[in-house]
Order: sequence, then structure tokens, then C-alpha cells
Amino acid sequence: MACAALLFASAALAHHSFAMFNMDKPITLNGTVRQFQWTNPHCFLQLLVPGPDNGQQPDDWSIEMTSPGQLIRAGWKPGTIKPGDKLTVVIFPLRDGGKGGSYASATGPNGKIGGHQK
Amino acid sequence: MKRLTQRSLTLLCILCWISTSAAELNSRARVEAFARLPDWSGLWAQFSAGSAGDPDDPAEYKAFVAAMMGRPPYNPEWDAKNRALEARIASEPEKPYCLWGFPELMLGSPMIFQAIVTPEETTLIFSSRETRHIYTDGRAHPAKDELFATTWGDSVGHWDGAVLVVDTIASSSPADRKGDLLSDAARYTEQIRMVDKNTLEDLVTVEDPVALSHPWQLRRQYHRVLNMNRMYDQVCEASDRNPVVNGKMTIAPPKR
Repeated sequence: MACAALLFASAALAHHSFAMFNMDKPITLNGTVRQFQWTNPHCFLQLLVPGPDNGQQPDDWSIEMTSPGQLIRAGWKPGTIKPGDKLTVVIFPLRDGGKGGSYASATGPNGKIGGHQK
Repeated sequence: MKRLTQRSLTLLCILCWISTSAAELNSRARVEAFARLPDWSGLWAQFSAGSAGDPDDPAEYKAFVAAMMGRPPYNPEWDAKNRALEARIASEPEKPYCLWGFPELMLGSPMIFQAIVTPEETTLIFSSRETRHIYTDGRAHPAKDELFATTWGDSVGHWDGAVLVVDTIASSSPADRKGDLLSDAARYTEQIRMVDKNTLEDLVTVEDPVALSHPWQLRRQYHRVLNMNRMYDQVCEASDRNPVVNGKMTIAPPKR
């Protein structure tokens, strides 16, 4: 039997643990969707976010989501968000300082995306 | 004469077709056996899905983590062994994993599953593309000299009314995990039943006279997934963007 204490605690992502993310300090990003990568084992949202100096070159944030199947269960579709969409996205950022994180929630012009499903 | 031969041949073909078709049909006994089984059709999942697709109900997840963080009732020797293994795992480079195996699939996995119940076997197919075969045709576990440990163990079961009683032995940690925390003597007894039309429940009793001081019992419930009309598999090996850098996992930058 695998390690109950350690492995079970990382169940929600199903492919790796949360250790790389700072789960205690979510951050909010306001940006424009460059790409919505609908792939296994994780979907990814590439979000262009103006850099700190609001310069010409925005930062390309890689936001990791769960698998397509789990997202479908939560009401998502491959076309739920499209390049060019303006979003406010809450993520748990990478601990290593990279421009990436684990997706927590997103709000678009029509409100929160996805919904709670029993 | 020619017409008679043709008719004979046609009749022969019809008889062959009827005979073949009958051979392909289920027997009355099998149909009746199937009719006595509960209907577990549909898709099931242990956790509700939040807007992010993962469990986001804080109370539910907190309760889950609290339950799972409870240690098995080890005897002193195996408790020490377990703590040493935890320390070793914590010190090693992280890596992704693709398989859950048994008993994690039932106890702590967010994988969606489908249950196919037939008189001979109940098959649980998980979205991680793992399968549990629970044989209910009266067969026994393999003989000792034919038995070997697998990721999902060897499961045989029987029906006690509408409760599927399962006996599983010889399960080992998946190859991509890092250690076994129960001994080869571990035995799992499950009582799986439908508590209402949208809820399945599994009462799992773990016995391991070598590693545990007493049997360990866990109860899990699975809810019917109402908004999906088909299974979507999770393919672990596809498009992986989680490299391990300096022993730590991270997210690879996007390919342009």
C-alpha cells in the first residue's frame, strides 16, 4: 500500500502534488488569454499580463488547470475561453518564482467561469 | 429438382442462422441472474467538482485530508518503518505519478469511474485508465504458487443481497510510487452498496497482522456524476509540462 499520509494528501491534482505551488498566498492576475490548451493530463491557460513596468512586452503566465474530464464535470468546454478574452484569474503561484501557477478561479465579463457540481 | 435443392439450401441457411443467433444470446439463467443485480450504471466520483474541476468545498476537502492524514494503526515496528519511508520520500526529488492503484483508487482518488455489473464480474473502470476486475463467478484467488502482487491486487467477491462483498489480496504500490507501507499479508474486505440512487458507498476493512495492531476501517462515498454523459480519460503521459528541475517540479514555459 502506498504512503497514506503523503500521497493521499495530494489527491486533488491527480498527477503530482501541490508542493511546487504556494497554496497559502493566492494572487490575482488581470490579463488577456493568449491560448487555452485543452490537453491531458492538465489543461493550461496562457495569460498575457502587463509587466510591472507596464512596458510593451507582457508576461506570458502559464496557468495549470486540472484534466479536461474534470473540467467538463465542472461545466467547462474546450471553447469556454478563447484567445483575446479578458479575464481576472486567481492562481496559487509557483514557489520558484516562475510565471506560472495552479488555477483557482476565473472571472470574465459574464461572471465566474465554471460552477460547482455534485 | 433444381428448385427443391434451392429451397433445401435456403432452409438450411435459415436453420443455421437461427442456431447461430441462439448460441449468441444470453441464457435464461444468466438473464435472471443479471436481473437480480443492482443497477450501478452511470459515472461516479468521490468528490464534488468546484469551478476549477477539483474539489473546492473547503469543508469537504479539509475533512478528506484530515481523514487521510490519519495514520494506519501500525504496530511499533511498522510505525517506525513508515516514518523512515516518509522521511526518505520527502528528501527525494519529486516526480509525477500516473497510477493510483488499489486501495487509493477507492479511498482517496478524484478519478471518475464507471461500474459494470454482470453476474460473473463487476468491473470498475476509472478515468485514469485503471481497471478493477472483481470476479463474482465463485472462483478463488490464485493458488499461492501462482499469486503475485499487482497494482490493483486480486479481487474476488460475492453478492450478499444488494451488497457486493469483495476480498482483495496481493496489491502493491504502483511502480511510479515509492514504497509499500503495508506488508504482503495485507487483506482488504469491501462492502460496496448503493445507499440511494445517486450514492454508492464502500466500507473498507484493512487487515494486516504483520503491520497493523488491529484492523483499520474506512468508509467512502461516491456521488453520481450527473452532468457528464460519457467517460473522459485522463492521459498522464500526454503533453506533460511538469519537468523536475533541481529536484523540484515546476511548469515548463509554453512552446511558441
